[in-house]
Amino acid sequence: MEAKDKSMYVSPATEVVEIKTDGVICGTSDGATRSIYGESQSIGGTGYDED
Amino acid sequence: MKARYLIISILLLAACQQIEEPFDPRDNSSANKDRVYTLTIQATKSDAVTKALALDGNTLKSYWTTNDKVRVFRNNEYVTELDVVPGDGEYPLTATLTATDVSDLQQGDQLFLLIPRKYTSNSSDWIYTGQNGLLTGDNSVSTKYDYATATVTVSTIDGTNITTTTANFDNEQSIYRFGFKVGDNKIDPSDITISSANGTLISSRTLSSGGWADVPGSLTFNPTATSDHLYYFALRNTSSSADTYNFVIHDANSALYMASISNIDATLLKGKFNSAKSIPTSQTRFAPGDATGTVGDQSGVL
Repeated sequence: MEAKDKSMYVSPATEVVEIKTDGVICGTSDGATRSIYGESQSIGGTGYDED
Repeated sequence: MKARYLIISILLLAACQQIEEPFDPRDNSSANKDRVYTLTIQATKSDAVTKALALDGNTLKSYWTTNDKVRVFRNNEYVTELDVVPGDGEYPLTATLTATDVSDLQQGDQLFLLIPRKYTSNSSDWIYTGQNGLLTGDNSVSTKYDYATATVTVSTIDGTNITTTTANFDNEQSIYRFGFKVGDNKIDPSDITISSANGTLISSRTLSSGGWADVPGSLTFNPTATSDHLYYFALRNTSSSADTYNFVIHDANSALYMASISNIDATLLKGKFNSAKSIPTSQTRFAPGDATGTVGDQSGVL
């Protein structure tokens, strides 16, 4: 049996809209970015961060 | 039979007329509110990984994972949730964000984006309670409490392309690594209560028509025991000046300990990785099992 053309059944409710962002989530080619927490900071005083 | 064909023909005609409802692609100020759209933000390669935080020596890396979700809010109302496809590399800092069922966007709309790490049925969940002291795994900092936010503005809507301003996600809390000791012995807490001397430690955030609001309060955790006796917590602290954290700890035998860390610089309260692996504690004389103490006397040290 011949396959049916699915495009016949595409309705406006499934229309695709691309949202491109200027740089990150919105824009450059690199995509959305996020920051890291980085190197640990010793808190509490001398000896508090020793093993 | 002819009547049946006539009815079918009428139904088909009506359906076609619905499909042919006008959509003007030249309208660059709004997405048709009567339509449902798929929102795609960027398109980079997938590099599926399973951890959202990674400790590399003393550096805590935060990066996109396929487990991430990004929730979108507009005018303090939930809009949709974006799926995440991380970019290249072991610790991708870029991602593609997509969602379906998006409609009614307007040029100039400001979108608030929130990484909740783990999907919950409540779209505005932003809580710090229930942490288990682990960096990764279920209910860990990495999978549930590592919140990050960004704000973008819809700049243009042109045909099937919608452009917004740049978004950079910032972490909304600091991650702390704590270890406790009495004398030279490490303590494995059965529960830890942390309070802020400035009263600026946040237990949750709530969303209303007026925006997000912090709910301050002390936090009590029941950490999972670890072999290295170190515990990780995500703490949001809104103080603009140096703060002191006070700890009340029970060990597995219900013995009670107290400790504090003072002069925590305000710059360390957001977006930093802070470490104190050997916090000295004192055991109170009125702790269970110690019949020699007097109520109100907290000066005793083992």
